[in-house]
Amino acid sequence: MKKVISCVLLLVMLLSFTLTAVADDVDFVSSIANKGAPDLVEFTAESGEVAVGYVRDQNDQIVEVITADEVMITAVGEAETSGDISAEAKEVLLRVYEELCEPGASLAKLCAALNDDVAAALGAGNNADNLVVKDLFDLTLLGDAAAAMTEDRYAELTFDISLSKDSYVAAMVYANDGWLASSIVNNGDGTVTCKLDATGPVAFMVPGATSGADTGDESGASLIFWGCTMAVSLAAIVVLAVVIYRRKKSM
Amino acid sequence: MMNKQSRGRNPAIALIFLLLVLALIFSSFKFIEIAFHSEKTGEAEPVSTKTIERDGLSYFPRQDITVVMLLGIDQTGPVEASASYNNTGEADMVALLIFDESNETYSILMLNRDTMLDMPVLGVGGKRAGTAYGQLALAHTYGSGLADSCENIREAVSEFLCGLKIDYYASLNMDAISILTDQVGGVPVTVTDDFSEVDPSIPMGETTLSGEQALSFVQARRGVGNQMNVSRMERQQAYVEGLLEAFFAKGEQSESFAVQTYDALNDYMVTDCTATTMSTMMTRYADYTLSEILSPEGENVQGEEYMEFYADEEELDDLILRLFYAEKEL
Repeated sequence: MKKVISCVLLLVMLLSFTLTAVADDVDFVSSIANKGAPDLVEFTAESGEVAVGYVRDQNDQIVEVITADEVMITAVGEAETSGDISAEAKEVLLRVYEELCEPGASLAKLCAALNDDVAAALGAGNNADNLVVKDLFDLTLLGDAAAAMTEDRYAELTFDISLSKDSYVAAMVYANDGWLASSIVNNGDGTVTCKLDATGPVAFMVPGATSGADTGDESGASLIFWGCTMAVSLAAIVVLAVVIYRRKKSM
Repeated sequence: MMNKQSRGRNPAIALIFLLLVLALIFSSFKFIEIAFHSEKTGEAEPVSTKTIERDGLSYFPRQDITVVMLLGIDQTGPVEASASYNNTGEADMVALLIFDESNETYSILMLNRDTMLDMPVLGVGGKRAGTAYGQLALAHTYGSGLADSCENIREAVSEFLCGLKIDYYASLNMDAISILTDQVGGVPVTVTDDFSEVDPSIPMGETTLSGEQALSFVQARRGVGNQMNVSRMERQQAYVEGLLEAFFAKGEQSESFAVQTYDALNDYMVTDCTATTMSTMMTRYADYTLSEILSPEGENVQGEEYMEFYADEEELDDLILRLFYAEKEL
Protein backbone atom coordinates (compact mmCIF):
# COMPACT_ATOMS: atom_id res chain seq x y z
CA MET A 1 0.00 0.00 0.00
CA LYS A 2 2.87 2.32 0.82
CA LYS A 3 4.18 2.05 -2.67
CA VAL A 4 0.89 2.90 -4.24
CA ILE A 5 0.30 5.83 -1.90
CA SER A 6 3.81 7.13 -2.46
CA CYS A 7 3.21 6.93 -6.18
CA VAL A 8 0.02 8.96 -5.89
CA LEU A 9 1.70 11.53 -3.68
CA LEU A 10 4.57 11.81 -6.09
CA LEU A 11 2.16 12.54 -8.90
CA VAL A 12 0.41 15.22 -6.86
CA MET A 13 3.75 16.85 -6.27
CA LEU A 14 4.66 16.65 -9.93
CA LEU A 15 1.49 18.57 -10.71
CA SER A 16 2.41 21.45 -8.45
CA PHE A 17 5.88 21.60 -9.92
CA THR A 18 4.54 21.70 -13.43
CA LEU A 19 2.42 24.68 -12.55
CA THR A 20 5.36 26.41 -10.95
CA ALA A 21 7.42 26.05 -14.05
CA VAL A 22 4.68 27.54 -16.15
CA ALA A 23 4.17 30.47 -13.84
CA ASP A 24 7.70 31.47 -13.01
CA ASP A 25 10.05 30.87 -15.91
CA VAL A 26 10.80 34.14 -17.61
CA ASP A 27 11.62 32.60 -20.99
CA PHE A 28 9.05 29.88 -20.72
CA VAL A 29 6.47 29.66 -23.45
CA SER A 30 3.24 29.43 -21.54
CA SER A 31 0.94 26.49 -21.91
CA ILE A 32 -2.56 27.00 -23.18
CA ALA A 33 -5.35 27.99 -20.84
CA ASN A 34 -9.09 27.98 -21.31
CA LYS A 35 -10.49 31.33 -22.34
CA GLY A 36 -14.17 30.58 -21.91
CA ALA A 37 -15.15 32.38 -25.11
CA PRO A 38 -13.81 32.49 -28.67
CA ASP A 39 -10.94 34.76 -29.63
CA LEU A 40 -11.36 37.46 -32.24
CA VAL A 41 -9.00 37.21 -35.18
CA GLU A 42 -6.97 40.32 -35.90
CA PHE A 43 -6.05 41.50 -39.38
CA THR A 44 -4.68 44.60 -41.02
CA ALA A 45 -7.42 46.75 -42.50
CA GLU A 46 -6.98 48.69 -45.73
CA SER A 47 -6.43 51.77 -43.62
CA GLY A 48 -3.40 50.05 -42.10
CA GLU A 49 -5.02 49.70 -38.71
CA VAL A 50 -4.86 46.39 -36.86
CA ALA A 51 -8.53 45.53 -36.78
CA VAL A 52 -10.86 42.73 -35.72
CA GLY A 53 -13.79 43.61 -37.97
CA TYR A 54 -15.96 46.16 -39.68
CA VAL A 55 -19.28 47.85 -39.22
CA ARG A 56 -20.92 47.75 -42.65
CA ASP A 57 -24.05 49.35 -44.05
CA GLN A 58 -26.87 47.71 -46.03
CA ASN A 59 -24.79 47.98 -49.21
CA ASP A 60 -21.92 46.15 -47.53
CA GLN A 61 -19.84 49.31 -47.50
CA ILE A 62 -17.43 49.75 -44.63
CA VAL A 63 -18.67 52.39 -42.22
CA GLU A 64 -16.25 51.82 -39.36
CA VAL A 65 -13.19 49.73 -38.67
CA ILE A 66 -13.52 47.83 -35.40
CA THR A 67 -10.35 47.54 -33.35
CA ALA A 68 -9.72 45.03 -30.57
CA ASP A 69 -10.20 47.60 -27.83
CA GLU A 70 -13.65 48.42 -29.19
CA VAL A 71 -14.99 44.93 -28.61
CA MET A 72 -15.74 43.38 -25.26
CA ILE A 73 -16.44 39.66 -25.16
CA THR A 74 -17.72 38.13 -21.94
CA ALA A 75 -18.01 34.39 -21.50
CA VAL A 76 -20.91 32.95 -19.54
CA GLY A 77 -18.53 31.77 -16.85
CA GLU A 78 -17.05 35.25 -16.47
CA ALA A 79 -20.35 37.15 -16.36
CA GLU A 80 -20.66 37.11 -12.58
CA THR A 81 -17.08 38.14 -11.88
CA SER A 82 -16.33 40.49 -14.76
CA GLY A 83 -16.38 44.12 -13.76
CA ASP A 84 -16.61 45.28 -17.36
CA ILE A 85 -19.91 43.90 -18.60
CA SER A 86 -22.96 46.07 -17.84
CA ALA A 87 -25.51 44.81 -15.36
CA GLU A 88 -28.15 44.72 -18.08
CA ALA A 89 -25.97 42.75 -20.51
CA LYS A 90 -25.01 40.34 -17.74
CA GLU A 91 -28.64 39.76 -16.81
CA VAL A 92 -29.59 39.04 -20.43
CA LEU A 93 -26.62 36.73 -21.01
CA LEU A 94 -27.31 34.65 -17.92
CA ARG A 95 -31.03 34.55 -18.68
CA VAL A 96 -30.58 33.27 -22.23
CA TYR A 97 -28.01 30.79 -20.97
CA GLU A 98 -30.53 29.41 -18.50
CA GLU A 99 -33.14 29.24 -21.24
CA LEU A 100 -30.83 27.33 -23.56
CA CYS A 101 -29.93 24.91 -20.77
CA GLU A 102 -33.53 24.00 -20.04
CA PRO A 103 -34.19 20.37 -20.99
CA GLY A 104 -37.06 21.27 -23.31
CA ALA A 105 -35.27 24.16 -25.00
CA SER A 106 -35.91 24.08 -28.74
CA LEU A 107 -33.58 26.01 -31.03
CA ALA A 108 -36.10 25.38 -33.81
CA LYS A 109 -38.62 27.46 -31.88
CA LEU A 110 -36.22 29.98 -30.37
CA CYS A 111 -34.81 30.86 -33.78
CA ALA A 112 -37.13 29.48 -36.46
CA ALA A 113 -35.25 31.42 -39.12
CA LEU A 114 -32.44 28.87 -38.84
CA ASN A 115 -34.58 25.89 -39.77
CA ASP A 116 -34.51 26.23 -43.55
CA ASP A 117 -30.77 26.74 -43.65
CA VAL A 118 -30.20 23.71 -41.40
CA ALA A 119 -32.49 21.58 -43.58
CA ALA A 120 -30.63 22.71 -46.68
CA ALA A 121 -27.26 21.95 -45.14
CA LEU A 122 -27.99 18.78 -43.18
CA GLY A 123 -30.79 17.35 -45.25
CA ALA A 124 -34.57 17.37 -45.26
CA GLY A 125 -36.08 16.53 -41.91
CA ASN A 126 -33.41 18.39 -40.00
CA ASN A 127 -34.00 21.68 -38.26
CA ALA A 128 -32.28 23.81 -35.64
CA ASP A 129 -33.04 21.22 -32.98
CA ASN A 130 -30.37 19.10 -34.60
CA LEU A 131 -27.83 21.70 -33.55
CA VAL A 132 -25.96 22.12 -30.28
CA VAL A 133 -24.83 25.48 -28.94
CA LYS A 134 -21.05 25.23 -28.95
CA ASP A 135 -20.26 28.77 -27.83
CA LEU A 136 -22.29 31.41 -26.04
CA PHE A 137 -20.97 34.80 -24.98
CA ASP A 138 -21.86 38.47 -24.79
CA LEU A 139 -20.50 40.77 -27.44
CA THR A 140 -20.53 44.48 -26.71
CA LEU A 141 -19.13 47.16 -28.98
CA LEU A 142 -17.52 50.22 -27.46
CA GLY A 143 -16.53 53.71 -28.58
CA ASP A 144 -16.83 54.66 -32.25
CA ALA A 145 -17.73 51.12 -33.24
CA ALA A 146 -20.73 51.16 -30.91
CA ALA A 147 -21.81 54.56 -32.23
CA ALA A 148 -21.53 53.35 -35.82
CA MET A 149 -23.59 50.21 -35.18
CA THR A 150 -27.05 51.55 -35.96
CA GLU A 151 -30.08 49.35 -36.70
CA ASP A 152 -29.55 49.17 -40.45
CA ARG A 153 -25.92 48.11 -40.14
CA TYR A 154 -24.11 44.96 -39.15
CA ALA A 155 -20.84 44.00 -37.55
CA GLU A 156 -18.57 41.63 -39.45
CA LEU A 157 -16.18 39.80 -37.17
CA THR A 158 -13.96 36.73 -37.41
CA PHE A 159 -13.73 34.36 -34.44
CA ASP A 160 -11.43 31.47 -33.73
CA ILE A 161 -13.70 28.72 -32.47
CA SER A 162 -11.47 25.72 -33.34
CA LEU A 163 -14.09 24.54 -35.80
CA SER A 164 -13.44 21.46 -37.90
CA LYS A 165 -12.70 22.21 -41.52
CA ASP A 166 -15.88 20.72 -42.96
CA SER A 167 -18.26 21.30 -40.09
CA TYR A 168 -21.55 23.06 -40.58
CA VAL A 169 -21.96 26.06 -38.31
CA ALA A 170 -24.84 28.42 -37.58
CA ALA A 171 -25.00 31.62 -35.57
CA MET A 172 -27.60 33.71 -33.87
CA VAL A 173 -27.62 36.89 -31.83
CA TYR A 174 -30.10 37.87 -29.14
CA ALA A 175 -31.79 41.23 -29.60
CA ASN A 176 -35.17 42.70 -28.71
CA ASP A 177 -36.16 39.67 -26.64
CA GLY A 178 -35.56 37.18 -29.42
CA TRP A 179 -32.87 35.35 -31.37
CA LEU A 180 -31.92 36.55 -34.85
CA ALA A 181 -30.25 34.19 -37.29
CA SER A 182 -26.89 35.51 -38.44
CA SER A 183 -24.90 34.85 -41.55
CA ILE A 184 -21.77 32.84 -40.81
CA VAL A 185 -19.04 31.22 -42.89
CA ASN A 186 -16.67 28.43 -41.88
CA ASN A 187 -13.29 29.62 -43.11
CA GLY A 188 -11.85 26.12 -42.89
CA ASP A 189 -8.98 27.07 -40.59
CA GLY A 190 -10.83 26.86 -37.29
CA THR A 191 -12.22 30.37 -37.71
CA VAL A 192 -15.63 31.65 -38.72
CA THR A 193 -16.66 35.01 -40.13
CA CYS A 194 -19.97 36.23 -38.84
CA LYS A 195 -22.28 39.08 -39.74
CA LEU A 196 -24.18 40.24 -36.69
CA ASP A 197 -27.19 42.51 -37.04
CA ALA A 198 -27.01 43.41 -33.38
CA THR A 199 -24.79 43.07 -30.35
CA GLY A 200 -25.58 41.12 -27.20
CA PRO A 201 -25.52 37.38 -26.52
CA VAL A 202 -24.10 35.50 -29.51
CA ALA A 203 -24.37 31.75 -30.01
CA PHE A 204 -22.52 29.49 -32.42
CA MET A 205 -24.10 26.13 -33.13
CA VAL A 206 -22.81 22.94 -34.71
CA PRO A 207 -24.58 19.69 -35.58
CA GLY A 208 -25.23 17.56 -32.54
CA ALA A 209 -25.59 14.40 -34.61
CA THR A 210 -21.85 13.87 -34.57
CA SER A 211 -22.09 13.51 -30.83
CA GLY A 212 -20.79 10.05 -30.09
CA ALA A 213 -22.29 9.95 -26.61
CA ASP A 214 -25.74 11.05 -27.69
CA THR A 215 -25.74 8.82 -30.71
CA GLY A 216 -24.51 5.94 -28.63
CA ASP A 217 -27.24 6.42 -26.05
CA GLU A 218 -29.91 6.66 -28.71
CA SER A 219 -28.60 3.59 -30.48
CA GLY A 220 -28.53 1.70 -27.24
CA ALA A 221 -32.09 2.69 -26.36
CA SER A 222 -33.32 1.81 -29.86
CA LEU A 223 -31.54 -1.49 -29.75
CA ILE A 224 -33.24 -2.36 -26.47
CA PHE A 225 -36.64 -1.21 -27.75
CA TRP A 226 -36.51 -3.23 -30.97
CA GLY A 227 -34.98 -6.18 -29.19
CA CYS A 228 -37.84 -6.19 -26.68
CA THR A 229 -40.41 -5.83 -29.47
CA MET A 230 -38.82 -8.73 -31.27
CA ALA A 231 -38.85 -10.90 -28.15
CA VAL A 232 -42.45 -10.03 -27.25
CA SER A 233 -43.63 -10.73 -30.81
CA LEU A 234 -41.86 -14.04 -30.87
CA ALA A 235 -43.24 -15.02 -27.47
CA ALA A 236 -46.78 -14.05 -28.53
CA ILE A 237 -46.48 -16.10 -31.73
CA VAL A 238 -45.30 -19.13 -29.77
CA VAL A 239 -48.12 -18.76 -27.22
CA LEU A 240 -50.68 -18.35 -29.99
CA ALA A 241 -49.34 -21.36 -31.85
CA VAL A 242 -49.49 -23.48 -28.71
CA VAL A 243 -53.06 -22.38 -28.00
CA ILE A 244 -54.16 -23.17 -31.55
CA TYR A 245 -52.39 -26.50 -31.48
CA ARG A 246 -54.00 -27.51 -28.18
CA ARG A 247 -57.44 -26.47 -29.34
CA LYS A 248 -57.10 -28.41 -32.54
CA LYS A 249 -55.86 -31.37 -30.60
CA SER A 250 -58.76 -31.21 -28.15
CA MET A 251 -61.21 -30.99 -31.04
CA MET B 1 -72.33 -24.69 -33.48
CA MET B 2 -68.74 -25.44 -32.71
CA ASN B 3 -67.93 -25.30 -36.39
CA LYS B 4 -69.58 -21.90 -36.64
CA GLN B 5 -67.47 -20.57 -33.71
CA SER B 6 -64.32 -21.97 -35.24
CA ARG B 7 -65.10 -20.41 -38.55
CA GLY B 8 -65.83 -17.09 -36.80
CA ARG B 9 -62.55 -17.13 -34.80
CA ASN B 10 -60.16 -18.26 -37.47
CA PRO B 11 -59.92 -15.01 -39.44
CA ALA B 12 -59.31 -13.00 -36.24
CA ILE B 13 -56.64 -15.38 -35.02
CA ALA B 14 -55.09 -15.44 -38.45
CA LEU B 15 -55.01 -11.64 -38.47
CA ILE B 16 -53.41 -11.50 -35.04
CA PHE B 17 -50.93 -14.14 -36.09
CA LEU B 18 -50.11 -12.21 -39.24
CA LEU B 19 -49.64 -8.96 -37.31
CA LEU B 20 -47.34 -10.65 -34.83
CA VAL B 21 -45.27 -12.15 -37.62
CA LEU B 22 -45.02 -8.74 -39.28
CA ALA B 23 -44.03 -7.17 -35.97
CA LEU B 24 -41.38 -9.84 -35.53
CA ILE B 25 -40.01 -9.33 -39.02
CA PHE B 26 -39.99 -5.53 -38.71
CA SER B 27 -38.45 -5.45 -35.23
CA SER B 28 -35.83 -8.01 -36.29
CA PHE B 29 -34.97 -5.86 -39.28
CA LYS B 30 -34.64 -2.71 -37.13
CA PHE B 31 -32.65 -4.57 -34.50
CA ILE B 32 -30.17 -5.91 -37.02
CA GLU B 33 -29.95 -2.54 -38.78
CA ILE B 34 -29.08 -0.64 -35.57
CA ALA B 35 -26.75 -3.34 -34.32
CA PHE B 36 -24.95 -3.44 -37.65
CA HIS B 37 -24.70 0.36 -37.77
CA SER B 38 -23.33 0.47 -34.22
CA GLU B 39 -20.73 -2.12 -35.06
CA LYS B 40 -19.70 -0.20 -38.16
CA THR B 41 -19.30 3.05 -36.22
CA GLY B 42 -17.61 1.31 -33.32
CA GLU B 43 -20.18 2.46 -30.81
CA ALA B 44 -21.16 -0.88 -29.37
CA GLU B 45 -17.71 -2.34 -29.23
CA PRO B 46 -14.85 -0.25 -27.86
CA VAL B 47 -11.60 -0.52 -29.75
CA SER B 48 -9.91 -1.93 -26.68
CA THR B 49 -11.94 -5.11 -26.91
CA LYS B 50 -10.69 -5.82 -30.42
CA THR B 51 -7.80 -7.92 -31.50
CA ILE B 52 -5.25 -6.05 -33.57
CA GLU B 53 -2.69 -7.24 -36.06
CA ARG B 54 0.88 -6.01 -36.12
CA ASP B 55 3.81 -7.40 -38.12
CA GLY B 56 1.95 -10.62 -38.80
CA LEU B 57 1.11 -11.20 -35.14
CA SER B 58 -2.24 -10.92 -33.40
CA TYR B 59 -2.65 -9.02 -30.15
CA PHE B 60 -5.61 -8.91 -27.84
CA PRO B 61 -6.37 -6.37 -25.11
CA ARG B 62 -5.02 -7.42 -21.76
CA GLN B 63 -7.74 -8.39 -19.33
CA ASP B 64 -5.38 -8.58 -16.38
CA ILE B 65 -4.81 -4.85 -15.97
CA THR B 66 -6.72 -2.10 -14.19
CA VAL B 67 -6.17 1.43 -15.41
CA VAL B 68 -6.72 4.44 -13.16
CA MET B 69 -6.42 7.95 -14.58
CA LEU B 70 -5.10 10.61 -12.19
CA LEU B 71 -5.67 14.26 -13.05
CA GLY B 72 -4.09 17.31 -11.50
CA ILE B 73 -6.35 20.29 -12.06
CA ASP B 74 -5.05 23.86 -12.13
CA GLN B 75 -7.55 25.11 -9.56
CA THR B 76 -7.36 26.14 -5.96
CA GLY B 77 -9.99 25.70 -3.27
CA PRO B 78 -12.56 22.95 -3.00
CA VAL B 79 -13.97 21.47 -6.18
CA GLU B 80 -16.98 23.43 -7.37
CA ALA B 81 -19.16 23.27 -10.45
CA SER B 82 -18.61 26.19 -12.79
CA ALA B 83 -21.50 28.50 -13.55
CA SER B 84 -21.11 27.73 -17.22
CA TYR B 85 -20.94 24.96 -19.78
CA ASN B 86 -17.16 25.14 -19.60
CA ASN B 87 -14.62 25.82 -16.87
CA THR B 88 -11.11 27.12 -16.33
CA GLY B 89 -9.60 24.01 -14.81
CA GLU B 90 -6.96 22.69 -17.16
CA ALA B 91 -5.61 19.23 -16.49
CA ASP B 92 -1.96 20.06 -15.86
CA MET B 93 -1.13 16.53 -14.96
CA VAL B 94 -2.55 13.47 -16.67
CA ALA B 95 -1.18 10.15 -15.49
CA LEU B 96 -2.35 6.59 -15.87
CA LEU B 97 -1.69 4.05 -13.16
CA ILE B 98 -1.66 0.63 -14.77
CA PHE B 99 -1.97 -2.24 -12.32
CA ASP B 100 -0.74 -5.51 -13.75
CA GLU B 101 -2.43 -8.32 -11.87
CA SER B 102 -0.42 -11.10 -13.51
CA ASN B 103 2.97 -9.71 -12.58
CA GLU B 104 1.81 -7.87 -9.45
CA THR B 105 3.44 -4.66 -10.60
CA TYR B 106 2.21 -1.26 -11.60
CA SER B 107 3.42 1.21 -14.20
CA ILE B 108 2.84 4.91 -14.56
CA LEU B 109 2.21 6.50 -17.91
CA MET B 110 2.60 10.27 -17.76
CA LEU B 111 0.98 12.22 -20.57
CA ASN B 112 2.22 15.65 -21.52
CA ARG B 113 -0.51 18.21 -20.86
CA ASP B 114 0.36 19.92 -24.16
CA THR B 115 -0.18 16.75 -26.20
CA MET B 116 -2.07 17.70 -29.36
CA LEU B 117 -5.06 15.48 -29.95
CA ASP B 118 -8.72 15.38 -30.90
CA MET B 119 -11.04 15.78 -27.97
CA PRO B 120 -14.80 15.82 -27.53
CA VAL B 121 -16.39 19.22 -27.01
CA LEU B 122 -19.27 19.78 -24.61
CA GLY B 123 -21.57 22.67 -25.50
CA VAL B 124 -24.37 24.41 -23.64
CA GLY B 125 -26.37 22.01 -21.50
CA GLY B 126 -23.50 19.51 -21.52
CA LYS B 127 -24.44 18.33 -25.00
CA ARG B 128 -21.80 16.97 -27.30
CA ALA B 129 -20.78 19.57 -29.86
CA GLY B 130 -18.32 17.79 -32.12
CA THR B 131 -14.62 17.61 -31.50
CA ALA B 132 -11.73 20.02 -31.24
CA TYR B 133 -8.03 19.57 -31.90
CA GLY B 134 -5.85 21.00 -29.19
CA GLN B 135 -3.82 20.47 -26.04
CA LEU B 136 -4.87 17.57 -23.84
CA ALA B 137 -5.15 19.87 -20.81
CA LEU B 138 -8.12 21.60 -22.41
CA ALA B 139 -10.21 18.44 -22.54
CA HIS B 140 -11.09 18.99 -18.88
CA THR B 141 -12.25 22.55 -19.49
CA TYR B 142 -15.35 21.36 -21.31
CA GLY B 143 -18.22 20.77 -18.91
CA SER B 144 -18.85 21.90 -15.36
CA GLY B 145 -15.46 20.92 -13.99
CA LEU B 146 -16.96 17.93 -12.19
CA ALA B 147 -17.68 14.41 -13.42
CA ASP B 148 -18.70 15.50 -16.92
CA SER B 149 -15.32 17.16 -17.46
CA CYS B 150 -13.49 14.11 -16.13
CA GLU B 151 -15.52 11.87 -18.42
CA ASN B 152 -14.67 14.15 -21.31
CA ILE B 153 -10.93 13.94 -20.75
CA ARG B 154 -11.23 10.21 -20.10
CA GLU B 155 -12.75 9.86 -23.56
CA ALA B 156 -10.03 12.02 -25.12
CA VAL B 157 -7.26 9.97 -23.50
CA SER B 158 -8.97 6.72 -24.40
CA GLU B 159 -9.21 7.76 -28.05
CA PHE B 160 -5.59 8.90 -28.01
CA LEU B 161 -4.52 5.50 -26.72
CA CYS B 162 -6.43 3.52 -29.35
CA GLY B 163 -9.63 3.05 -27.38
CA LEU B 164 -8.00 2.05 -24.09
CA LYS B 165 -10.53 1.18 -21.39
CA ILE B 166 -9.83 3.46 -18.43
CA ASP B 167 -11.46 1.85 -15.44
CA TYR B 168 -11.47 4.75 -13.00
CA TYR B 169 -10.43 8.38 -12.69
CA ALA B 170 -9.60 10.73 -9.83
CA SER B 171 -8.92 14.44 -10.27
CA LEU B 172 -7.32 16.62 -7.60
CA ASN B 173 -7.20 20.38 -7.19
CA MET B 174 -3.94 22.16 -6.31
CA ASP B 175 -4.69 22.65 -2.64
CA ALA B 176 -3.89 19.00 -2.14
CA ILE B 177 -0.23 19.91 -1.60
CA SER B 178 -0.76 22.06 1.48
CA ILE B 179 -3.43 19.72 2.81
CA LEU B 180 -1.08 16.77 2.54
CA THR B 181 1.71 18.71 4.22
CA ASP B 182 -0.51 19.62 7.15
CA GLN B 183 -1.96 16.12 7.22
CA VAL B 184 1.47 14.60 7.86
CA GLY B 185 2.20 17.20 10.53
CA GLY B 186 4.66 19.18 8.43
CA VAL B 187 7.47 18.15 6.12
CA PRO B 188 11.08 18.13 7.33
CA VAL B 189 13.59 19.75 4.93
CA THR B 190 16.94 21.47 5.01
CA VAL B 191 16.63 24.99 3.65
CA THR B 192 19.78 26.09 1.88
CA ASP B 193 18.42 29.16 0.07
CA ASP B 194 17.39 32.49 1.54
CA PHE B 195 13.62 32.82 1.51
CA SER B 196 13.44 36.11 3.40
CA GLU B 197 12.27 38.00 0.32
CA VAL B 198 9.50 35.53 -0.53
CA ASP B 199 8.43 34.02 2.77
CA PRO B 200 10.32 35.28 5.83
CA SER B 201 8.75 32.54 7.95
CA ILE B 202 10.96 29.92 6.24
CA PRO B 203 14.29 29.84 8.11
CA MET B 204 17.64 28.64 6.79
CA GLY B 205 18.79 25.18 7.93
CA GLU B 206 16.72 22.26 9.12
CA THR B 207 13.05 23.02 9.56
CA THR B 208 9.59 21.52 9.26
CA LEU B 209 7.43 23.17 6.63
CA SER B 210 3.77 23.91 7.21
CA GLY B 211 1.28 23.57 4.36
CA GLU B 212 1.51 27.23 3.44
CA GLN B 213 5.30 27.28 3.64
CA ALA B 214 5.46 24.15 1.51
CA LEU B 215 3.75 25.92 -1.35
CA SER B 216 6.31 28.74 -1.26
CA PHE B 217 9.15 26.27 -0.88
CA VAL B 218 8.32 24.28 -4.00
CA GLN B 219 6.84 27.05 -6.14
CA ALA B 220 8.94 30.17 -5.64
CA ARG B 221 11.93 30.92 -7.85
CA ARG B 222 12.21 34.66 -8.21
CA GLY B 223 13.85 36.16 -5.16
CA VAL B 224 15.08 32.82 -3.84
CA GLY B 225 18.78 31.94 -3.90
CA ASN B 226 20.25 32.06 -7.41
CA GLN B 227 16.73 32.12 -8.86
CA MET B 228 17.59 29.19 -11.09
CA ASN B 229 15.04 26.57 -11.97
CA VAL B 230 17.59 23.85 -11.23
CA SER B 231 17.79 25.03 -7.63
CA ARG B 232 14.05 24.97 -7.33
CA MET B 233 13.90 21.44 -8.69
CA GLU B 234 16.39 20.41 -6.00
CA ARG B 235 14.08 21.93 -3.38
CA GLN B 236 11.16 20.07 -4.88
CA GLN B 237 13.03 16.80 -4.70
CA ALA B 238 13.93 17.46 -1.07
CA TYR B 239 10.33 18.23 -0.32
CA VAL B 240 9.03 15.01 -1.89
CA GLU B 241 11.52 12.95 0.08
CA GLY B 242 10.55 14.74 3.29
CA LEU B 243 6.87 14.32 2.59
CA LEU B 244 7.12 10.60 1.95
CA GLU B 245 9.20 10.15 5.07
CA ALA B 246 6.62 12.01 7.15
CA PHE B 247 3.74 10.21 5.47
CA PHE B 248 5.05 6.74 6.20
CA ALA B 249 5.94 7.70 9.74
CA LYS B 250 2.34 8.76 10.25
CA GLY B 251 1.09 5.64 8.55
CA GLU B 252 3.06 3.49 10.96
CA GLN B 253 1.38 5.23 13.87
CA SER B 254 -2.16 4.82 12.61
CA GLU B 255 -3.72 2.26 10.27
CA SER B 256 -6.53 4.66 9.46
CA PHE B 257 -4.16 7.42 8.36
CA ALA B 258 -4.57 6.66 4.65
CA VAL B 259 -8.35 6.81 5.00
CA GLN B 260 -8.10 10.04 6.96
CA THR B 261 -5.94 11.53 4.24
CA TYR B 262 -8.49 10.42 1.66
CA ASP B 263 -11.21 12.13 3.66
CA ALA B 264 -9.14 15.29 3.99
CA LEU B 265 -8.71 15.44 0.23
CA ASN B 266 -12.33 14.61 -0.47
CA ASP B 267 -13.51 18.19 -1.05
CA TYR B 268 -10.64 18.71 -3.49
CA MET B 269 -11.25 15.59 -5.51
CA VAL B 270 -13.65 14.27 -8.16
CA THR B 271 -13.67 10.54 -8.74
CA ASP B 272 -15.88 7.78 -10.03
CA CYS B 273 -14.35 5.46 -7.46
CA THR B 274 -16.44 4.77 -4.41
CA ALA B 275 -14.68 4.59 -1.08
CA THR B 276 -15.26 0.83 -1.13
CA THR B 277 -13.69 0.44 -4.56
CA MET B 278 -10.75 2.60 -3.53
CA SER B 279 -10.27 0.56 -0.38
CA THR B 280 -10.50 -2.71 -2.30
CA MET B 281 -7.93 -1.53 -4.82
CA MET B 282 -5.53 -0.37 -2.12
CA THR B 283 -5.80 -3.75 -0.43
CA ARG B 284 -5.40 -5.70 -3.66
CA TYR B 285 -2.49 -3.67 -4.97
CA ALA B 286 -0.79 -3.01 -1.63
CA ASP B 287 2.24 -5.15 -2.33
CA TYR B 288 2.59 -4.39 -6.02
CA THR B 289 5.95 -2.97 -7.02
CA LEU B 290 6.61 -0.12 -9.38
CA SER B 291 7.65 -1.50 -12.73
CA GLU B 292 8.35 1.64 -14.76
CA ILE B 293 7.47 5.27 -15.27
CA LEU B 294 6.84 6.04 -18.91
CA SER B 295 5.96 8.98 -21.06
CA PRO B 296 5.26 9.00 -24.80
CA GLU B 297 8.15 10.36 -26.79
CA GLY B 298 7.58 13.21 -29.14
CA GLU B 299 8.39 16.76 -30.01
CA ASN B 300 7.75 19.89 -27.97
CA VAL B 301 7.25 22.84 -30.26
CA GLN B 302 6.21 26.39 -29.77
CA GLY B 303 2.90 26.94 -31.51
CA GLU B 304 1.58 30.31 -32.62
CA GLU B 305 0.98 31.20 -29.03
CA TYR B 306 1.42 28.20 -26.78
CA MET B 307 3.47 25.06 -26.29
CA GLU B 308 2.42 22.03 -28.30
CA PHE B 309 3.57 18.44 -27.90
CA TYR B 310 3.34 16.03 -30.80
CA ALA B 311 3.68 12.39 -29.81
CA ASP B 312 5.74 10.15 -32.04
CA GLU B 313 2.96 7.99 -33.50
CA GLU B 314 5.07 4.94 -34.18
CA GLU B 315 6.60 4.98 -30.73
CA LEU B 316 3.18 5.58 -29.20
CA ASP B 317 1.73 2.57 -31.02
CA ASP B 318 4.55 0.41 -29.69
CA LEU B 319 3.98 1.74 -26.19
CA ILE B 320 0.25 1.03 -26.36
CA LEU B 321 0.90 -2.45 -27.64
CA ARG B 322 3.42 -3.17 -24.91
CA LEU B 323 1.36 -1.80 -22.04
CA PHE B 324 -2.18 -2.71 -22.95
CA TYR B 325 -2.04 -5.68 -25.30
CA ALA B 326 -0.79 -9.26 -25.15
CA GLU B 327 0.29 -11.45 -28.02
CA LYS B 328 -2.21 -14.04 -29.09
CA GLU B 329 -0.74 -17.50 -28.96
CA LEU B 330 -1.70 -19.58 -31.97
